[in-house]
Amino acid sequence: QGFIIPFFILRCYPTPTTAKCEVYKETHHYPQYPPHHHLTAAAEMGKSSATAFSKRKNSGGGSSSSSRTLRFEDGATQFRQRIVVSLLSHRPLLIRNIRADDLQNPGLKDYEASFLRLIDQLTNGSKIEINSTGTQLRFHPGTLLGGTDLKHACPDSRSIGWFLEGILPLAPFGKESLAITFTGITDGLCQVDPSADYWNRSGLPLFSAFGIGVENDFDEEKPQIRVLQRAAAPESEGNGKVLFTCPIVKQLQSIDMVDPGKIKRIRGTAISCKIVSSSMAARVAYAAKGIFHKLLPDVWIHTDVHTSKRHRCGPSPGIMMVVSSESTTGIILTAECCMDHRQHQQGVNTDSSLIPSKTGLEIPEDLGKRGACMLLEEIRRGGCIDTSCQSLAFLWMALTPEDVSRIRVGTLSQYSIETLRLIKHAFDVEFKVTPDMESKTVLLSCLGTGYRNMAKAST
Amino acid sequence: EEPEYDPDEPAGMLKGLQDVDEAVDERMERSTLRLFKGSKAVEAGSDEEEDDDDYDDENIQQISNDAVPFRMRGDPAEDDDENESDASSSEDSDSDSDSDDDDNQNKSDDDDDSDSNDENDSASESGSNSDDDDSDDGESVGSGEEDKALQSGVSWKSGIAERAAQSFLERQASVLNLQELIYGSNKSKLVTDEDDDGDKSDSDDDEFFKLKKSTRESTNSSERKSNEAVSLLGEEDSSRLISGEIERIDMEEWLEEGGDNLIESLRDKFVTGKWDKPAGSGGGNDDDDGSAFGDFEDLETGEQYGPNGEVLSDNDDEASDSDPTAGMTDAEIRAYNAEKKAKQKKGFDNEYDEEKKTKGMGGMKDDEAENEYLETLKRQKEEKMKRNQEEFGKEGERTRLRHEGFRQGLYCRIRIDGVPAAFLDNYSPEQPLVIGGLTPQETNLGFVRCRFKKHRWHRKILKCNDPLVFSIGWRRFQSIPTFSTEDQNGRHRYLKYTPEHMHCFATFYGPQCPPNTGILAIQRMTGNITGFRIAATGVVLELNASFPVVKKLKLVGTPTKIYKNTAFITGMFNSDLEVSRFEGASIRTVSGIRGQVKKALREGQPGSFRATFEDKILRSDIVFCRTWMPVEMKEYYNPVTNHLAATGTDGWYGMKNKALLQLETNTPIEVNPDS
Repeated sequence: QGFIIPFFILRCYPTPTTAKCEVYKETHHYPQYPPHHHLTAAAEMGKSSATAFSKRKNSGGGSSSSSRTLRFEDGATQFRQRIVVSLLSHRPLLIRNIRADDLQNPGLKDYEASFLRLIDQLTNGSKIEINSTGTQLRFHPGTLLGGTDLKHACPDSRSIGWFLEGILPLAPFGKESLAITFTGITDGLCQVDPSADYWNRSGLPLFSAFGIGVENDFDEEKPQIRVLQRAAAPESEGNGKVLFTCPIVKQLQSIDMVDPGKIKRIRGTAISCKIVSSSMAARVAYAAKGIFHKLLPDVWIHTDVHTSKRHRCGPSPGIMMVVSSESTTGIILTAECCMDHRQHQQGVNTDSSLIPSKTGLEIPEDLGKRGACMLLEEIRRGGCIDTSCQSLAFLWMALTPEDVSRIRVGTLSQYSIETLRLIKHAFDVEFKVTPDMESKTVLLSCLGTGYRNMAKAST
Repeated sequence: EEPEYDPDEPAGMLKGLQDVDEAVDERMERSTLRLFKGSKAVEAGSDEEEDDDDYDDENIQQISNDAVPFRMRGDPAEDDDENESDASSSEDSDSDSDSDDDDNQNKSDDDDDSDSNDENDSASESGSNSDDDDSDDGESVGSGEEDKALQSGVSWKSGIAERAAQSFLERQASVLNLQELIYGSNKSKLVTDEDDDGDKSDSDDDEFFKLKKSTRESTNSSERKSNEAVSLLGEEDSSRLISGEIERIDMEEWLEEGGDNLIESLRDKFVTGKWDKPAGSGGGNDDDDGSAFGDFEDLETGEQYGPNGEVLSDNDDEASDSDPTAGMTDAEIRAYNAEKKAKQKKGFDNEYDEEKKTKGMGGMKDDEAENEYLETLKRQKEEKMKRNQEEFGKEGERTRLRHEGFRQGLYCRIRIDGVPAAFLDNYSPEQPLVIGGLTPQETNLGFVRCRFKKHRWHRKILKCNDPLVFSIGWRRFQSIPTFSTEDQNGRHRYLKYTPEHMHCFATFYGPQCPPNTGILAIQRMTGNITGFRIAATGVVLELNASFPVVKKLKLVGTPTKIYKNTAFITGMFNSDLEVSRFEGASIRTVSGIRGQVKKALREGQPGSFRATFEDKILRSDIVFCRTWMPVEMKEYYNPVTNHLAATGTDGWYGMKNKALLQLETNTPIEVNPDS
């Protein structure tokens, strides 16, 4: 009788040498090259080396499957994404030279360590090894758990949005649905990182586009990001609170977002935090509306005033605005801007010239106009997704079922380009990038890996 | 030594395989020669081959890492292992990169040129700067090839300029190649493989050189680019800060008043603007630059017909008619017709499906229903193939492979390195090899929890912690299961044996396989097994790095001093710390009087504590505390490597269970007299 010999028996057998598989493919004819050119492509399937016959040491987990290790020598670049990709691809991660050149403060920063703690909280069996100087991180991914009633305190050096941005891609792939409350800074750092409000407006539509939480009937089971309490940079004193909930999925859906449509409405919120005068937010909203009304009558910008007495907001004053446009095809583009707290400290001496008005502090009207212009800029780029959401969308596109996913982006940001490279490195998914000359946009498409949430238990 | 094939033994297919096998060797040999990027030229079958082995490997990997078209996304990166295992390879890679650097320096000017062009606006980059580029190109190609000429000494120098021009035109054809900017070129891979694949004469060589030339350029440029990018991104890991700078927008530009300001250029992106094109055209109406205003005016004149879809399509037709290339129009018409046809077909299919579905409700036969199901699946698959074809098939086969991997129905040749010699020695052609793929997670080891049931024909129940051989999916391996059952409150309680006729949970250490995979377990692979061999069946439920399974633990203590409802208990715990951990825990006497642990006592035996009961307990009462103990799972995984033994499964040794060992060694069964 015929016996089926599984191929990976070879893999499991301990061999001193690395086994390598190369796949050669021969096609017969193809138009642009003469037929005698055999198109061959080397593919490397890799193998997990030497899984020992008997016990595998738990502690040395990293070494046993090191052939699949994602190695990076360039320090903390893309720190969160690399960890996330390592978790999703189940490949160990090694990052070296983390701020190795910095003699004063080498190694991981406090927010990075905090992010590692967060990941540790979300997973079971993850091994995190950091060397004594903190310049090297070895991460062995475990199983993603998720879970409700989780809490994470974020340091004030980074906003909650930074942490949120990190775990957004992971959230739907846990064993259980996720509900986590972050405490830390909610406002005032959006020039550096997208804020929680931004993710609420721009990220959540992406969740439903990928089919996360669309089958759930109850509102509680839908993904949501809610800012419960606000705290502006630089100090939060644990006042800012953001609740993030996300259901799990078995598989994502592939997307086809190529039609930006026509913008039919603009919605926004001007938020002031710990500022005595409540008119500040109104002034921001008024200025922004002034610009939008040139183009569209359907503009609503709400004001949201938080005081320490009534809303228990943080001790630092801050003012920010989030505006998003919705198109006829349901495409939502979001922009946000905020008062830079660093200028309060620096006073008139703004060498960095972060703000157009050189006189020091930005007045609320200017802030409103700046926010409006930022949204218009996003609109001008003509994508179906705004710049900060790109990398999340790309990562998920690579994890869709084995089907074509397409998306149109306005301008590829440097960060997204790095994401594309990382996806290529970890998942072997190469996007097809076609510039659309006519509309000056870029079309990206890929074939998903058919990723399935294996952590999810079957009933 | 080569495995000896008896030509009579295998059938025709195997013979064919045999031939192919030789070809792989040959080709591999050649590939080691020509895969070189570096400056060294190696003769076929020369002695240097041995020395440069690592180097070659490095090269191959680099190439295959560039783009792995085969969709074994499992474990694409292998170089890490290589790096760790061979110390020498790192040196090699160093030298490799050095040579690359040199190239970079040579080409840097040229690259800069082209890159900046690409990044900017490519629409304008049609032919205006072609002369400039051309000359540059010619130089670079020439210089690069001179290097080679010195080494290889092939007479191919004639017509460098033509070739350079040709290569430039090729490059021009792929005008703005964002793809390469992002991923780098993977032509290197294809070209080098082509070269190692094809059996080429000298005349072919020059073509080979030309292609490789262009490849190297682009690869280098992309490498350099990626390095730059990394430095740009910085270690802040911020998606909005690029090289520590906050991205600013020019507000002056936006706030500028006037007729053709930026805001006005956006007007058509809003519902209040002109709907000159259907929304489905995908933002085709955002030509907002000054240069594009000519077109804009045209559309405006066209708009007098009316702003709805019909007129618009007329407009389009006009545009295509006025198109000077008549062939384009034909193609368009053809495409249009095809689309129409596809739409009709889809409509019919859907209708048909609906019909069948409604019919199916009214008692369709099983095989009929199955046929229907298969048909639908088939159609879905076809649709998917078509979508892929549409998306990735336009730019030819190699691009398609790059994005899609090897799809169904393609022939491919697979080389497997590091196969143990024992495998070939003991290979039996009676057992064909089936090659499959695994997702990356499936190669990880971890704990697997499954629903498990002793097979009803199997005579005995199964004992916890006795090894079993599992067959799951592609794999067969031996592992040690821990049986448990789920209590009402979700606690997993340890079971010593599988239940007789019921399901239980089994947790074992092994490769993670997707939930809902079926499981089959047998006790031994070899020897005479009386009765039914299959011990149990099951299905995978859940994967995790650890599973909590607990068993009962009864702590026992005795009262030393008894007050009214209070008593001092000793002997239950060993230290005050333990007591404090159990403060508030409920305890019970043999006679059924319930109580609570209160507080550790300072004096007396360490671990003694004060407890209160609902009634006065007797001096002779023994006090129990019922607790749960986590059970430690054995991490044992032993794949059945029957193909490495001459005698098949008989040659594979697994762990034996205790009963078998006792039987074999005549050891009497241990009896604990205290039990």
